[in-house]
Amino acid sequence: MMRRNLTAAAVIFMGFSGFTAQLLLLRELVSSFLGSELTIGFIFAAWLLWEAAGARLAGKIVHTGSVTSFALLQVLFALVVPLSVYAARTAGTFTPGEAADFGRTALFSLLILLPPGFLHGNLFPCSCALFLKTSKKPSETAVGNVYILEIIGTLAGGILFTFLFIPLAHGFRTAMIISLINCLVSSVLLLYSTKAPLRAAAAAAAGAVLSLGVIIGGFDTYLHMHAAGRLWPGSEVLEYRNSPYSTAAVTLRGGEYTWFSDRVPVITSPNPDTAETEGFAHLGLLHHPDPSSVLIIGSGAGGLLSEVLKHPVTRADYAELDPLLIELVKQHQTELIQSELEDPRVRTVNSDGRLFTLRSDAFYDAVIIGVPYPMDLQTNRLYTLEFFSLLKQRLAPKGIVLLSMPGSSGYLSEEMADINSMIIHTLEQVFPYRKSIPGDSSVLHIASGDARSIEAADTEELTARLAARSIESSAVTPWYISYRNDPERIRWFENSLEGHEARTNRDFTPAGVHYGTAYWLSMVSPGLLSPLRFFSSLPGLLLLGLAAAGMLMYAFLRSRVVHGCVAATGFSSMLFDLAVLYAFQALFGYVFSWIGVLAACFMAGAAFGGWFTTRRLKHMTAIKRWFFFSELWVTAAALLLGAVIMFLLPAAAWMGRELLLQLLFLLTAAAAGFSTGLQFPLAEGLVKHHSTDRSTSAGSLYAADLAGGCAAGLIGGAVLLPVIGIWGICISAMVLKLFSLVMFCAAGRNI
Amino acid sequence: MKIMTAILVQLSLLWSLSASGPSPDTMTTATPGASEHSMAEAMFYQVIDDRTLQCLICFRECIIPEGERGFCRNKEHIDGVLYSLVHSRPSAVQVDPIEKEPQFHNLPGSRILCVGTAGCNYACRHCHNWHLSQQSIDDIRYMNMTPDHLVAEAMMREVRTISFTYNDPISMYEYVYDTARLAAQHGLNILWHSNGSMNPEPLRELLKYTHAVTIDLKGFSSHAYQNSRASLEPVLEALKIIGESDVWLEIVNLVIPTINDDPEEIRAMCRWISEHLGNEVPLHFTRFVPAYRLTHLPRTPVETLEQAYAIAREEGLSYVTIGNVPGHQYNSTFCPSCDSRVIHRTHFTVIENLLIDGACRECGHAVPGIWK
Repeated sequence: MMRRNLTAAAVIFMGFSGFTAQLLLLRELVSSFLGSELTIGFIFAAWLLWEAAGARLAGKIVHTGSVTSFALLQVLFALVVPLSVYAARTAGTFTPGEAADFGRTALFSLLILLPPGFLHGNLFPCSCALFLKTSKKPSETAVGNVYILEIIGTLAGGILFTFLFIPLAHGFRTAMIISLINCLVSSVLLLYSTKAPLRAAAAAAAGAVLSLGVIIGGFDTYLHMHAAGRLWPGSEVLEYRNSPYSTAAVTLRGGEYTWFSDRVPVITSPNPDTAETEGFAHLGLLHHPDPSSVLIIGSGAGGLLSEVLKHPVTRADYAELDPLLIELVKQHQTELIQSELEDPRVRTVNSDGRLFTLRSDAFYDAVIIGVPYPMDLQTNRLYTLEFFSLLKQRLAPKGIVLLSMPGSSGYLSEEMADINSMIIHTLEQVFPYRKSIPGDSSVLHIASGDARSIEAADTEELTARLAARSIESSAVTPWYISYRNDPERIRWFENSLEGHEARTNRDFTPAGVHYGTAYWLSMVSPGLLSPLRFFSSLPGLLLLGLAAAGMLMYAFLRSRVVHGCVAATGFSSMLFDLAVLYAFQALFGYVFSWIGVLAACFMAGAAFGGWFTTRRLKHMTAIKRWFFFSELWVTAAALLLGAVIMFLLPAAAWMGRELLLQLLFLLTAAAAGFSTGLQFPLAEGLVKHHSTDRSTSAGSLYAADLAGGCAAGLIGGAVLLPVIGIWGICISAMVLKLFSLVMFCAAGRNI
Repeated sequence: MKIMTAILVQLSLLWSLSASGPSPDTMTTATPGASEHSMAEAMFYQVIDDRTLQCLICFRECIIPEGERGFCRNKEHIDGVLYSLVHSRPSAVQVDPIEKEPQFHNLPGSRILCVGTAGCNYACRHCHNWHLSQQSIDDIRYMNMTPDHLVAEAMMREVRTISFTYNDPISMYEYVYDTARLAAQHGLNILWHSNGSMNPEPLRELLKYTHAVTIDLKGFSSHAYQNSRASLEPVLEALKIIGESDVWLEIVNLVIPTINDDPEEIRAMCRWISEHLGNEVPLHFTRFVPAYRLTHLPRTPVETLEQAYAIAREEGLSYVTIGNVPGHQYNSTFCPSCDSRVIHRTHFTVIENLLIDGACRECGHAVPGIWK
């Protein structure tokens, strides 16, 4: 009894540590990927791949029924996790300061996830075999129980990671806690096993002691800062911290502080990028006749604020996308920052800029969006039609919105032209008046609902306002205004945009992310631009339709329709998961904090769905009919999920009920998981009649499920979401399932 | 299956047509086969054998088989002849202040016609014009502007100088050369901003028609030049040749953290300049801001730039400035004799030029440069 309970506890901890390690590595790798959530799908897919390989090959590597094998695998897993975290953080930094290209990062992700993913995959069949030995229940129930116990561990991991580890522990501390728990559980398990050699227990115990020693001695913190230091050699790394939104860091070099968000420098003090900052602030604000209230979202401290305050401003509200940045800015104040933040006109906001705008009832003469171009969903939240509509409500009469996009004063590349066209098109749907001023490396866009703020502000007027406000600027002089505001140069810019696409950027159809990704690829991996353009030029449904048709035709011809249906469900399942995560990110911006609970809810939903069907399986007389209903249900669920995400969740978001919205998201994730989890036991029930080896049939179905999931992970984030949006993803899943349903019906009696 | 393939082919064709799209003004997008009519034969190349040519414009001396292109993507071997693909095909033509080059001792406050094409013989990871320099002419839009057109454009826009910049003039050598010869006939000055890795013979030939040059010295070590996939020695060789000519030379050194900001390296560079080019060559230390592939590096601390300035002065260089830090006192030019400010600059704006006929108003010290 004691041993069975211990095994159960070990399985729970296995689920806990596996999922926590997965989340931890995902966070580290995404930070290497410049914080783009579009890579979540890829990382999930890579983990799934190695886990499946580990599960499949477990029997060939270790004796699956042995306590010693199971325990030592856990110890090995415990060792591998901190090493993987170190590798994930420093991978691709052969050249300090260089953004890793897509191919290199993808390759490193695959390699780094291999050891922990593979080992964790090994653990599942080992734990099943172990459980079978200690259980008197039939094999189906025993395996089901292991699955449920692992899900309990997964849920616990998701919740603890979100609410405990992220706020309180750095990456290496979390990794060492995982190691400690694994080693402890293994040593106890081995001690209670009569067959296990004592030295194995001693090894596990030594692992636990070592992990504890590392934590108590603070060596994990040393490793944490050492790994961070490798990212910026020659700089003193003062902070490297995770927030719900990103990974923030502060470095000091040559008396200059730099604040980083996901490794990209966002604030420099005491000497900011004066030309860019002054050009942005002054050229923009001079377009308003009397800017007294200003809202700054992003990169405000360290220069922009002080320039803004040179105008007749009586109130300046300042928010960052990640409030941790403001906290770190306050911790390492320079004289300039201190003067900015202590100015009585300045009010710093301790929440992300979009949520603040939603909750605020103030009206502004100018809103300055200072965050980088939309290359991921988090930054995209500030450049969508929905957010611009919100800003319009917050603008006073003659109010202006200022933002900048990548550009050039000499030549606009296709990608630069696309991203500027997109932002102009989106702005113009909300603000009837707009002006764009090209600069050396960026284009300043000014939008307003009032013609007077745009049309009346010619060079003469702007120069007069500069003088009237007695603004002392190093970069923005009367000559500079005439140079930047040159009508001929502006006309050149507008002409350069002709013929370029102008899709509207929306929260759930993030065209901005697509163009931002294309711009990023044009710098780091230009070879991938052509495939991206090719895929994005095809209607998403056609693309998926072709893929689905090919896959299901293959299954049909090979008389493996059920496998085809399961693969399609695996594909839809991953799309559902990604759709929920992306919708959450589009509305909240802190998916990296909540990914644990959201994914855990999804998995718990899937497990509950599986359990729900398994319990009724023995009473089902017509499994084929029930399988047909499950196909129908997953098809309908795609539509339902799309409707919930597109209509219900935004409605709740606009009401500003954050808690309710979070709850709705958790329920949606669980419901989406439940819908896809229902089918697997039915498929197994259908296939087992045609197979002599039960484990082989289950394995091949599992492989089909994973293959579908991997495929969706690979293309769901990087291609489908930016091109066809969340609604398109849901419709695609529905079309795919409809197709598999038709195939299933067509196969008829052959199944 | 055949139908599916046919659909895919049709779709990809449609895509490729829509991707090129209509172009602004006179800009066109390159299409296969459309380039032959306006290609110019390259200068300075040799035949290795019946299937191989060697370009001799720059230090790379690319060996180019039939149908292939050199490192810069701009020279193509077609039927035993090496052609320049960018002659008369600029992608960027803009009027800018001369201070942007930077050229601080050359008609201060004047405007220049800046011209750039696709391609470059370097691959700098910090390039600000990567969207031109790291592209092939096939992938970007360009205008059809012969040297005549350029000269006419300069005269129409009332500028005195045509500057070949954005990408390296080495990769558009023939276009620069033809324009320079023509410009000389119309009294226009020719300026080019280069990495300085041109081979001696083409360099000497081009200098005959050149008035001023800005050389981008990327550092003073092989480590610094690795960042551009290039090497230092050819640049030093070219600098000596330019230094010996009558052409006005200014040197710019973009100081990049971890790449080329070692004070000893900066000192060695300044010492070399002083010894081989003299103390009167203006040297501009400019501040790095994250760009292109070096987006994770911090901006250069101003302290580092000031340290570089002090080193250069210690080594005896007379005209040293700090760039890309608007408002910094060393944006301006100071008289090496009496230390008074002779040209007051902030960023690209010339606030005040206190030189009288190229001499310091306070002490009469002659400041070298092009002043008329």
